[in-house]
Amino acid sequence: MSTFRALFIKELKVVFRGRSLIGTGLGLAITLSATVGIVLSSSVSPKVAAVLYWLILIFSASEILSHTFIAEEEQGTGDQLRLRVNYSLVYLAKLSSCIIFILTVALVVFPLLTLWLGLPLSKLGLIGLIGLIGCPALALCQGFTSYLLSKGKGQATLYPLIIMPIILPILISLVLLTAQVIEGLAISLNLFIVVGAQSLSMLVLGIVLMPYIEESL
Amino acid sequence: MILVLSGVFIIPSIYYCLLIAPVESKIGEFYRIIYFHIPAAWLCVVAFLVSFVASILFLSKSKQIYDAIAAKSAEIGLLFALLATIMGSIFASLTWGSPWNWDPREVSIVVLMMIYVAYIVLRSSIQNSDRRGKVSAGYSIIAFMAVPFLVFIMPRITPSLHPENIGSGTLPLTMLLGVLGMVVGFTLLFIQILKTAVKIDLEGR
Repeated sequence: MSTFRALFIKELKVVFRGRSLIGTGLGLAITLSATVGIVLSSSVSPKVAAVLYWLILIFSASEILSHTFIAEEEQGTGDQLRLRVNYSLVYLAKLSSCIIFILTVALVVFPLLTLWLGLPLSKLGLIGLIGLIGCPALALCQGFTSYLLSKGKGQATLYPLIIMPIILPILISLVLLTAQVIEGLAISLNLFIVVGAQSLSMLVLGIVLMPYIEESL
Repeated sequence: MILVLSGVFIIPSIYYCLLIAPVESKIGEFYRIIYFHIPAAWLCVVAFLVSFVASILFLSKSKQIYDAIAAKSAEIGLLFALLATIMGSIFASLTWGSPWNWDPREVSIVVLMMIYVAYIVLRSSIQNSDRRGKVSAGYSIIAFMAVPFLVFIMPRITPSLHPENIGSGTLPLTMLLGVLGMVVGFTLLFIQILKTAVKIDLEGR
């Protein structure tokens, strides 16, 4: 547990201390939100607003989510870690820091967009609740794929092509859920189950498959 | 042997589907494209399932044959997905007036194709064969996690134009016979194509 805590703190420091990383993520989030807010203001339909929430979040966070895994391999520090600790712990620590980061971006994007798109602020609580479930789900879905890409050595440029189809089912579910909240409709339990089931299966698969991939590479 | 057996099923089935099976009352003769569309859609799911299972076996046993099966099955599955999409678009343009209607099934199959195109791109971008095998096996396994959502869940939780006659058991027996004959025949043909593709792939390594 203390190893995991140490790794988690290290990952948090990497993500939040790197000015370029946090600057890229939050800077992009605020710029995109402001652009969308100024151009569209209160003229967007609930479904378009829901798409904007998640697309801006994904684009703002993807830089960090891909970088967390790939940088370790590119800098060669991944091998150092493998000599000292079980790499599954490293993987879990990275995933946890990704979840914290994407939640931080959501904390900025969701209120700004709600305000700038002229949506009722009373909806923010429920949208935030979906964000609390959706952000970890997105991080978990991207986590193992990012890890695989990092093992591909120098495949970082393929990140959007490889990762987007994998997260699309969760992204669609989250957009539909958010649209239901904005429209004031009953929230579909099925969509929550889809998000939960897929993110949980990604987490479990990541932990189960990693030793098999690690042992030969 | 498998090739002969697939011919035994496919040739009479094509004859039956095109010339004997009754005409559909609303759509007319054009409906006969479903006898090719359904087997293609079925085979893309089967091929992706085979790729998934072979990927698990490759990670656990590290035998090159499983890597070859996973890769070739994904490629063949992608081809069948493309054929199912083209035939589905022709059917859609004749019945709903437009080849593309943002129907959940149309969206699902395109996302599936994107996933397996990504798989092939990932494979082709890694030079080291062992690394390529392990990484792409991992990707194939997590990619398959999206298949149940895209094929079975999404079309049921969002409104769809797509007919569900087979799933709901309302397809007339005369049409079902043709569909089953084609599905069995094309499944056997898929096995033969996969066997040949794997053999060529292994010889080239």
